[in-house]
Amino acid sequence: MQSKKIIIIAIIAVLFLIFIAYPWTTYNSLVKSREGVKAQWQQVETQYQRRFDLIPNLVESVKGIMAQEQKIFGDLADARTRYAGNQNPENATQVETALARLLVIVENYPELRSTETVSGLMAELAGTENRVAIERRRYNEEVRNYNQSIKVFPRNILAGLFGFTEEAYFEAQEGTENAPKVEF
Amino acid sequence: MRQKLSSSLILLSLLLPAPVGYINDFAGILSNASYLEQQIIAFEQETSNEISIVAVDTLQDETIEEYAVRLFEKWQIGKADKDNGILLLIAPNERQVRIEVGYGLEGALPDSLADLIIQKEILPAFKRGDYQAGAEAGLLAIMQVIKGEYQAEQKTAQWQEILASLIPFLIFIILIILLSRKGKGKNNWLWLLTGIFLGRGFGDSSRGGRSGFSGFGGGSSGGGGASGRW
Repeated sequence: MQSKKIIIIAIIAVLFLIFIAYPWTTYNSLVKSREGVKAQWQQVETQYQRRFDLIPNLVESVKGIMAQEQKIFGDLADARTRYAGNQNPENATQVETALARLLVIVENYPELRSTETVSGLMAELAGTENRVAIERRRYNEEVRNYNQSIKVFPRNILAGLFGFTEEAYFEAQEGTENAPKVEF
Repeated sequence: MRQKLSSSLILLSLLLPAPVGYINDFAGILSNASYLEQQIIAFEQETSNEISIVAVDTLQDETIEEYAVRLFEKWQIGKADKDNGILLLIAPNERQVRIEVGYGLEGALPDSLADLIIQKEILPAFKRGDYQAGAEAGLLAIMQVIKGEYQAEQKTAQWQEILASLIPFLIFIILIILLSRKGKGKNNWLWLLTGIFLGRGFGDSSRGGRSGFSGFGGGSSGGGGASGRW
């Protein structure tokens, strides 16, 4: 009867693997992956905040010289206020568009570009825009990994059971990929 | 979204070279690369900051910002726990240059300062076509700015090294004492042990004394720094 015992133990072991050990490790790795997505989004928002904080400084130092460009300052202030009220991606994009326009305009004022404060602020701003782009790309990579991991068989069954749903990619809004042209 | 995804797939297929040292002059524009290499090696030993200067033939139709951060991701310049790496990327054919700053040095070398270094130190020489002078001036400025930020953990390392080198010596003495106490007799195994030990121990001590490039330390960056064109 020794062999019967071994068979029973083997069956229990297999059932344990399938119904407890595998779901256990899968669940933990899915949680980790989903937290990775969230953490990466925090990185994006950190850079949004940094951008947000830089705007008043930049505006203060260029406003006087660019007296005839009041429209862009108005737009930028509006976008910033809206973003402060509700930090959704759409408002973030509007801040981004307004900023990009300001950057292009400033490029057309050589006397502005030559003052140290302004060129320093411009460099900070360009660096921030670059950081935003990079953290967003990394966010999309995290999302892709996570979405892939909840879709492959047999994980998809467990993911459905535990309630893991697909995360959304960051999508660039229409027309923001290219810096806008400024006519004079 | 589709367009975005497909463009990131193209990015994944960027052909990035492997590092050959702190200086990686793939474009062959530096007249005295070994001098720069020595500077960086000495600087790394003093501060643990890792600086890499890279000159590439082509950015492969990528922006210099994207190329720099990709290269940084792959090479992992800087120490893993400090993220204290700097990449000075030169693309002579595209006439662009970038300083990419690791997360841990963004405070010491903010974007505005990186921009200033590019405009004032690097670009004037690059405009004359003197890449060596530009790279040297840029490197010097970067080192001055980030010098105070980190210290190499040399003291503890030295103590550990001294201790580690003492241990074999102590074992050797113990073996000798044991051998001399027991005198002649059945302690052949002790002689054998001593023999093995002599062979191995002194073979080991020949290595050590690290100098030069032994790979980057696992640091990361997130798009900080500045770019310039000429």
